[in-house]
Amino acid sequence: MKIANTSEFLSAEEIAEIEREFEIYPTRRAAGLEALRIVQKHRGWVSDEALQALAAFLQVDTAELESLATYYQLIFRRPVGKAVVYCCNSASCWLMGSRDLQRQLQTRLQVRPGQTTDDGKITLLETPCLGDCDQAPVIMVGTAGGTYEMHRRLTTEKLEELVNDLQKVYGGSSDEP
Amino acid sequence: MTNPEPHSVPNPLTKNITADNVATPIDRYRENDGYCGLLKALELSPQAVIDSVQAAGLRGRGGAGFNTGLKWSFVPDQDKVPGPRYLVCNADEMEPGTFKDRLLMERDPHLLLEGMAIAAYAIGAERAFIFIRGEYFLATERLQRAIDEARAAGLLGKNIGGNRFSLDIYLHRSSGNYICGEETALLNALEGKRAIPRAKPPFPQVSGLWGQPTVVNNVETLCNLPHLISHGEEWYRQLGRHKDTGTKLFGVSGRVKNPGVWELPMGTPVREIIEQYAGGMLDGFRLKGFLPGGGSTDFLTPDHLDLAMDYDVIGEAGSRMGTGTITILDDHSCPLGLTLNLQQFFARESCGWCTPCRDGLPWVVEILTRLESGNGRAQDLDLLEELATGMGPGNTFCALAPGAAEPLLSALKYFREDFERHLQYGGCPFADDRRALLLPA
Amino acid sequence: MAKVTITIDDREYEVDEGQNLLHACLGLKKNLPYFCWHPAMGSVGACRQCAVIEYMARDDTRGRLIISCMTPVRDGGVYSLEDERAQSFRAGIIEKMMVNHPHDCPVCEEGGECHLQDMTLMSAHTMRRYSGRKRTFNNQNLGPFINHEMNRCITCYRCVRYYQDYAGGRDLQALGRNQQVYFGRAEDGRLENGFSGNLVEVCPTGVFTDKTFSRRFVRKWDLQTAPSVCEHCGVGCNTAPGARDDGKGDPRKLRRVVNLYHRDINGYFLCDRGRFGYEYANSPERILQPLQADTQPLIQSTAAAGEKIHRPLPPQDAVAQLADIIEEARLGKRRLLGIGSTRTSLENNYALKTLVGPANFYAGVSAGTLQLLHLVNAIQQDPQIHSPSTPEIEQADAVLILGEDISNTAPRIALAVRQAAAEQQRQRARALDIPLWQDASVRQLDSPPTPIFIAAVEGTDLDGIARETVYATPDEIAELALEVVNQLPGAVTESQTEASDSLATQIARALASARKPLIVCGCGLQSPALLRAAAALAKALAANPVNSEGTASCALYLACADANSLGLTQLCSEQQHLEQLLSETAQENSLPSTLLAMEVDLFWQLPDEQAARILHGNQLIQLDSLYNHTSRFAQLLLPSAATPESEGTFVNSSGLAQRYYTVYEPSGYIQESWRWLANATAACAARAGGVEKIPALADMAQWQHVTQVSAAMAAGIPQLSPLSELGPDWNTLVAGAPVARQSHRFSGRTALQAEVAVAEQPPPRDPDAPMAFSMEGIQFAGYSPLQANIWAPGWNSDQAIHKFQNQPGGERAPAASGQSLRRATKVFEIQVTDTGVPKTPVNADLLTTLPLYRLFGSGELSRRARSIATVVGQAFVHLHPDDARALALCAGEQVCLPGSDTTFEVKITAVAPQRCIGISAGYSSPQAVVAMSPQDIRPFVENPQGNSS
Repeated sequence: MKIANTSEFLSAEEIAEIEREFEIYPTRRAAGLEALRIVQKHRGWVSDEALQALAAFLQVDTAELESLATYYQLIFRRPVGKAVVYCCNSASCWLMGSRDLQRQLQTRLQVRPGQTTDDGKITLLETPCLGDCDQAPVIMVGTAGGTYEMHRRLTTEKLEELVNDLQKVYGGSSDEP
Repeated sequence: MTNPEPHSVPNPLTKNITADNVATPIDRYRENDGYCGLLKALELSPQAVIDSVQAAGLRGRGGAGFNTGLKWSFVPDQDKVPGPRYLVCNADEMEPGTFKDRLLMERDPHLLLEGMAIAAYAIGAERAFIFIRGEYFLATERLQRAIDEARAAGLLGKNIGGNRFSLDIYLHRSSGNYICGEETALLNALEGKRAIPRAKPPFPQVSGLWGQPTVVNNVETLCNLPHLISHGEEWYRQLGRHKDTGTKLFGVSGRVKNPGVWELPMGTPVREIIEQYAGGMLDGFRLKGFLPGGGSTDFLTPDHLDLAMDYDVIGEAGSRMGTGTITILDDHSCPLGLTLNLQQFFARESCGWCTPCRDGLPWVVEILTRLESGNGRAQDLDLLEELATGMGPGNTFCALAPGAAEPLLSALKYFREDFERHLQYGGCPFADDRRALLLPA
Repeated sequence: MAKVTITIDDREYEVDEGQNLLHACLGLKKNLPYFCWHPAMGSVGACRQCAVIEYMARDDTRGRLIISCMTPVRDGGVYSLEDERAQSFRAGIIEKMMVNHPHDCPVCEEGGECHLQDMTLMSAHTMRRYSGRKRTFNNQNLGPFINHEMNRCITCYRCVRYYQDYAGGRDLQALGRNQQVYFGRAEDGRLENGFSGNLVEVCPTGVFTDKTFSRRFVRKWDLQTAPSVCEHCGVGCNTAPGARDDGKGDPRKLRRVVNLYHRDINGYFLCDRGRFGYEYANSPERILQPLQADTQPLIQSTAAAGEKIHRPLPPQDAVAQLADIIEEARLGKRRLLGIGSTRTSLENNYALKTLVGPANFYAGVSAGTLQLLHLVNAIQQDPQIHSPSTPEIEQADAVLILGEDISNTAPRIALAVRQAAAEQQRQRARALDIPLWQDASVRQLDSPPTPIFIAAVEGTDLDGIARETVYATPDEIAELALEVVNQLPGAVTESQTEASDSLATQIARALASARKPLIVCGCGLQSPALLRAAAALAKALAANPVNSEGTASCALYLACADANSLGLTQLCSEQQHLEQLLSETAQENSLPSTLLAMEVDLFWQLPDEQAARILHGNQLIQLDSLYNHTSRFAQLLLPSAATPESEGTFVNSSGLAQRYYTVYEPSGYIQESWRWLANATAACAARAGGVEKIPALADMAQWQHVTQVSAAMAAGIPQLSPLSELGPDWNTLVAGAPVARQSHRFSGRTALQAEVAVAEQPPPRDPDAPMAFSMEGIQFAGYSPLQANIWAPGWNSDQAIHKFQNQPGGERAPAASGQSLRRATKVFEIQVTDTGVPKTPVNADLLTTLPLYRLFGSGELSRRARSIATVVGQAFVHLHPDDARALALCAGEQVCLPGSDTTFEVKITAVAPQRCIGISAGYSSPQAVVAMSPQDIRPFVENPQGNSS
């Protein structure tokens, strides 16, 4: 699909934010990574159409931007849910039982890491160390609104509570009928 | 912050950090001698600042432990390399088991800004970037507020403190990937490129951001500068308990009674950190080994508990002090499993540039996964050793794969019996053990 | 260059200072495996394959592993390639690369010339220990030229480094990370860069392979080859076409074209027109045998007036017919006029000229083109003008391109200019002691780009590297050049930059302060004034004291359209053009006239109406390889050999004469044009009772070898005297043997013709070159420059070339072909005030016509290559938005132009000069007028008669 008009696709807010980045970076191309992040902040993820519109706006080839988008793990090229659950699985959390928590999450949400619940509300991701190792095991929940919340020293019970809360707020399938 | 009882030692890095989870506001920061270091530095020549930092023996707190002043001194003169200089703060804390920079940024952001201003002044930079982890949302928020405060107070921006020195600090939120912590990969990320490390030489001090002289320093390193300059290098040198100077954030995670992070003198013995500050092992757990400073350092064992946490001392013991945040391997956790977990991390975080790392690490993961699930072969351990040796320093393009090889080789060395038990047992001998354990309440 | 002494495995060597150790080792012909390094692209240290051991000193026994491509040679350095640790490390690297490689060599087109295969063997990795699953990828459809098979990828990054960094492409990128790195496009589609074909050679394994070759694939060792010169433009790139007879009578014997290294012209790279244009030789429109016009009137023919229907004729009859005509001409009963060609050899042209007599020989180009070519020739004779080699272009530190769209008319030169863009970075790297071969480190340097200025009539592929681009008419561009001349002296003294400076002042300052300035111009815009202005500027720069490191000449590259444009120019005066021929034939003459058109399509060179007038009332005999518009009017058609089917000499745009050699015996009755003419002349002599009876043609009647034709030219035409030094004569053996065209592994030689006859036929003899159409003879490329199969033991891929260079990237040894024309030195008189730029437009109401060139589409032969034809697209016109508005035309609309039955698509672009109409060149007959009235542009109406079916 070809985007006829970039400024029609990108919102005025997105364009304004990207243009602010142009002041910091010497070329439009150099602001590409920031621009991807901005678009994702507004849309939750970077769709093919958004990528093309952005490439046109930055005057680079779509493939150049795709090269960045597919390199960085926090740029999402597939839609994510309203809530993204980042499950830390690095050394300290692993030692403190993050595998069981992750399994619990997978069962409760019926998704595997990288997947989104059937209703499109909650996405489960594995994440490298979140830098809260003394509070392990930890999980971070990001929302479409751009807020992030840390959940520390998790246990099966606390996680159960967290999932219930998430499902209340965002929906998401449950293993219960 | 879980500091134990009042220190007998000075805690210049954390003196503003209280029990409340708030960022020290600028007025309180200034009341407590904040920005005095900067104002003092501005009265000195840049060269004098560099000399002072070098003489103080401040070593990079990101893990490599290189003398900070010496690093700065490699920035060439304007005659040789004209054009702008850049300072970049490496706030991409992502090393498994590392949790110190986040604390400084969230709780005392002005300390970092002041440190950056001193560093920028010393190297002649008028633009500085904080390359911060994308997941560090709170730190980002608080730093941005602090930047705005400092700018309003005339401590950033044009002609700081009436001096001719000007500095703008920009926050760049990373879009992820551990390799961005490698300073040259970080520069590529900052330039909006794929974060592939660069060949050295040329070092960033000569050709860094956009090909211009650039210094990349870790958050904690920069946070050492205000008090170093305020009180002078002699005072700073005496902060250390052993050979290395200054104080350092040390931390412990794993099954200890009181996991946390503390500012302690350089050279504090490992045993003191684990047993005194972290409260020792949880009941029912024994210390089997530990990673002294993050997932890319070699395992050490209880035999090493009396070593001083000093770059060279830990180095001589066959590991690295790294970030100084200790990860405890307890006797109920599978060393092979932990090693596999680390190797999975490094394999996933490989940038894909050089062969030993890109294609070697997934192979290591494949072998460890087989061993863990009971499908190992007798020759696998030798093959693992061969692959790990192949990823040693100098064999790869950057330090990521050598960092991955460190826990792998040391695990094979210290926990070989456990590896072999997997072969004999036909699976993980710790699996039942782990199942029997309940998560701490 | 200073030398340093190094020790490798206990032997001492002297090598050039500053190079990296891998380069030095390869220069010493050591077998050290590598992947990511490439001689044209330097080192990045990614693959780690070239590891060796370095010792601190002679008494150091431990040493340490180093990556040789990233390590500069150190005076007194002690290294080991053979150390066991180095060897096992290298085997380990290969083993890791092969973890995911599919081991599909039997079905891989790269098999047998695969660098990965070679390096795997060299590294002695034989046993597979990895037992996990292989990662797999989906492939992309990259268009008609290139296959994509990502599972074979070993992630050496050469492809993107070549495609992006070297060739300036943007649509091929590294995607993903860790073990999942994928080299591809954002979505399926043809690779946009005009040099994409080099990926086939740059990729060390079979990720990117030649799709045109895949269709009728054979192994490299089953191809026969000979050195050739690309016939698709005037640059003169050296190629190694590969051919194989399928033994079943398929005339499509040519299978592919690959690069043949020539340091001063093409280096390691070809353009896509040159690589994929070869398919014209396999076209179903090839003339395979003599054809004669049918004398029977046709009933209900769709043919237009004068068009003929042809039927085959036995070759001896065709020769007899031609002999009849020569005889009549000789006896004064017929006028015989020859039309030569810019796309065939000097030898063919000279034979035709000899046959018809100098007065009756015409260059098969328009008056305008011939004038331009003579101008180029005259300019190049000036001692202050220097025709730069490709490496010289790559190192230019200021460039001005005047009008010529080299990306489409001389693509390899455009690729060279692109390298010049990084010259400032290279200078900065030198200042920072960064070795120039440390590619990524040089590219990351922040430096002002090399001042490259482009004046053009449309957007060009090089615009992205230009400091300033101006879009203007040819006259305006010429004026700009002259203004630069006027600004030159002042620019040297004042060094400050003013924002208000005019473009001419900026250009003047950049050129005057450059050590190696370069001017690029050419014949593309058909403007003599532009050529003169370019010459005036180059001469003024040459006189500039700062310039050119005291050589007192300035580099000026002048692009000519065809492979032998400048060669033909040597054989005819400025007046012997097609318009002259037209006026000649239009005059009353009692004699009947025969036109002998050799490898020229008059309708390609002239507007339809003029071409038709030349043919009107005259008998036409055509010699050509492809049936074309002109062929429709021929009484007799003789099948000419295509370039790879023949031997001959081209003179490239720089005045370098190069010989190309017969790669394979053509099908049917195809032979070189000069042979048809010589055969007919010999028949004449036989009838006349001996060659002495036809003294003017006596020599020609006895020509047996193309080198005899060359020798006759060398003896008779002073500037062509170097032809005698061009290469070994047909009977000069190398070390007592001919050069083998077939590799020592060539399979099925005795069985190839088995379907036709059981008896083994002796291979045909080459009458022109000391080369065998068999595997017997010299195989080693180090013994003869005629050996185009670049192979060395253990090196089956094109990377073997380093074994035959004095060092990687250096000159080919034995020396590459080519001799510069020995033209007299003659000052090109030019007054800046009198270059012929029209001061006022002829008529303000008229639109200036501008030819617009395309890599695919503007080449006469290449546009008929099968794969290229699929991407050529429709003829088009370019208009500035204001002009389009005035003409009430919108984008996408179809229009007709006078004298042409082609319909053109309207394209509207802001980067077009106003009051102009750009017309796609080669998509239709050329337009008659240089200025076009707006009324001439008519919307296309389907079915003008209104009779719907």
